[in-house]
Amino acid sequence: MAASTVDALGMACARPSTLESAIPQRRAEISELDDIDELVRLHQARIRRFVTYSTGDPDLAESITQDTLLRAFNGRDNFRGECSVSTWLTGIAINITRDHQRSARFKFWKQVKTTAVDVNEMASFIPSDSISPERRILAEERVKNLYKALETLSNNQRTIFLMKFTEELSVEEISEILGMAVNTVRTHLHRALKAVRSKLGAGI
Amino acid sequence: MTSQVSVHLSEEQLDDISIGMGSRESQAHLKACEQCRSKLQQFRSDVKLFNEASIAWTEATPRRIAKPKRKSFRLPTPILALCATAMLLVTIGLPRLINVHPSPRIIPSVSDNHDSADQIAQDNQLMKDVEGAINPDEASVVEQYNLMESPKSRLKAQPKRGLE
Repeated sequence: MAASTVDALGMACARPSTLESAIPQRRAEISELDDIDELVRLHQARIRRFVTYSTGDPDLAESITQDTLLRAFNGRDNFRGECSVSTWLTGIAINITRDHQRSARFKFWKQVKTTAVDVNEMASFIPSDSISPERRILAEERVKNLYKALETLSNNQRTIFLMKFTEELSVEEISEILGMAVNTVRTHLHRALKAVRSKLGAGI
Repeated sequence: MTSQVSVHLSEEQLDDISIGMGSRESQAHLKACEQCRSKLQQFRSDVKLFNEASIAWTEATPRRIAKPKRKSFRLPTPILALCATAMLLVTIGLPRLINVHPSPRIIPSVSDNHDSADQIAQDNQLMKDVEGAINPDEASVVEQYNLMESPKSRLKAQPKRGLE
């Protein structure tokens, strides 16, 4: 397991392999963190996507994304460059999402109102340049099926699936961010993949 | 490369490869087996499409992120109004309740307002303490203006007041 540290915002970061390799990256990321507009430009969509598909609620995702970016901006002095800004932000977003999910208010509102992702609309955003119109219909169907499969997963499974396959974090990084054993992360991923496989049918 | 492999990877082995924890044997099999490779490729392709569509969708619906603001504590207006009313009532009503027949107030004349020497010494000490607490490095005003001299001598130095 990679060495890691926990910063003042409670975020675990995997350390880069060498200090020398970390320095230029650190400089670039510090300037990125110092400018809220740049932070929003670079990370807003990605964080919002992650939280949207993690919670299934675009409105909540918008609020959590805003909290995440503001918390990161206000706490930028705590970022020590021991992981990428992207990984750091994902960790903050996960913590805020967990806080929301624990709060009684969230549970109440989840019962009375949840703004669902419009999966048909989302699937229509598949880039059109890469596939033919015929294949596009099939591709949209598969994207919808994948989303539906994600909806059936538990919160943990869905979050870990997205961290692995959408955020492209390693199992070790996920384990550090979530404070979970690597084997537990692996088990969640296996279960998630099994559920996704059953929804997608042919393929994996 | 050949697809003549009779035993294929199990779902669990394929999943391990998907999550980046495939064994060396599984990786070797994958290189040789087109069928297993195709299964894996299909999943990766689905995930790629999902990622492309979801990020494009998210970017197409941009939301404004508010600039950071200092959080200010605000009480709800009705609570403030109630508090103000209660304070007003207490300020006006309480003295009236206590002094039903108030005795005429004795206003001390200016001439009676002599501070005792002890009082002056106490005040000077208090000023020095406050000054010390606020500006520990700076010279105290009391010291600067030599206020710690004997109150009696200062009293003597003061001009006599007219009504004495």
